[in-house]
Amino acid sequence: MKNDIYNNLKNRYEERSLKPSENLWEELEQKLETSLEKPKQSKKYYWFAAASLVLLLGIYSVFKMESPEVVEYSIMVKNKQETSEIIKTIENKDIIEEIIPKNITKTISENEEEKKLVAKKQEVEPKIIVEKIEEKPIIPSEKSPIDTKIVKELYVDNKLSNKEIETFVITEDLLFYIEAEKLKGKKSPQKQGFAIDLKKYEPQSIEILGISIYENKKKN
Amino acid sequence: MRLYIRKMNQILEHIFKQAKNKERQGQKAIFEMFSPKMLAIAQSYIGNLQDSEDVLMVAFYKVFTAIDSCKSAETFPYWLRKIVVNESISFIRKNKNIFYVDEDIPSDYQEETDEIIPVDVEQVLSEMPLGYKLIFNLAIFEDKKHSEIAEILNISEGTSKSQLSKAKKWLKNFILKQQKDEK
Repeated sequence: MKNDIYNNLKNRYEERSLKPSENLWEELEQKLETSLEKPKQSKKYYWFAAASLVLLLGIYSVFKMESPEVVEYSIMVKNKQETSEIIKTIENKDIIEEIIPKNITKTISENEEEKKLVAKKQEVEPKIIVEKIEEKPIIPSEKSPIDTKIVKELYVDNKLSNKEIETFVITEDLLFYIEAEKLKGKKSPQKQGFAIDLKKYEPQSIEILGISIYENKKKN
Repeated sequence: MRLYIRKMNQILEHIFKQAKNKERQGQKAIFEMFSPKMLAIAQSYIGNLQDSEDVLMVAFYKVFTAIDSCKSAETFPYWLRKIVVNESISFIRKNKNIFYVDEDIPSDYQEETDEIIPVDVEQVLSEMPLGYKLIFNLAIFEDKKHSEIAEILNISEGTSKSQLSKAKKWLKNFILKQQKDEK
């Protein structure tokens, strides 16, 4: 009995209906049509974006293939000032190729004949591999010429893996890179390669354990 | 009668499939079939016919754009009604200030025995305060539990119960007043 009033009310409520205005369906239809057009536009936009991205990637890959590869190389330099000095000398001087036999530590020498002989014996392609420099500067100034304390460890290793070779400089590549940089007229000390003109820094004499092994006859 | 219901179900199934395929003919048929009833439901919450039509249009737009989420033609009328009710309530919450004070059921609350009295539902819906009407409609006409009403209106269950109790008291007083006026 207690819920009869509500059931009665509910039945009457369910029987209710109101006629909507005549243009209500037309308005709804217009709204539905505009909503259907929007996704089509967005699809077209995504297709256009995808196509332009592919085009850009294609152009990039073509330019990358055409541009010459610059061989990366590394050199340990502790004094930045000296690095900049070295770079200056590179622009004006010729480059020296150094050919050092395998697993041999040598002091810097100007005897090119000896180097050529060693190179022939080892039958090694001329490659400057790694320079391990001690705490002393790589290239001393003219006032303090190179002495025996400045030692370079230069390695030549034919059995290097491909990955290791990537970090080294082939002389031809180095020359090409420098020439290319000159043409560009740009100077980027961080990435710019350099070669050392040892003639400018010729040591007067080299002694090991008190024994003079080299004397600069030209200067004397 | 059974034949009529069966035929109606077949028609509904057919137009429901058409509407699912985004066919305008099916959508229009659904709109014509359900819009008078749904407009009456929306109006029972909102009151104003113009606003109710706006809400109805929004509700049908949602229905036609999200019809894929409705599984079958059988459940479609209930799904449609739920959307219309939800849209009506969200319209009220946006455009009309309703503030429910959290309160528990009064200790003297009792379901009173009611006699069968003929009630003019239109008058009740137009006269009942909006705060009461929302909860009364949801509880009596939509058969919602207090926990569901509390979730829909973002109130506590206690508030829902107390408001329904007050709505019922208001209805009783309204009917008594009508009877006195008739005499």
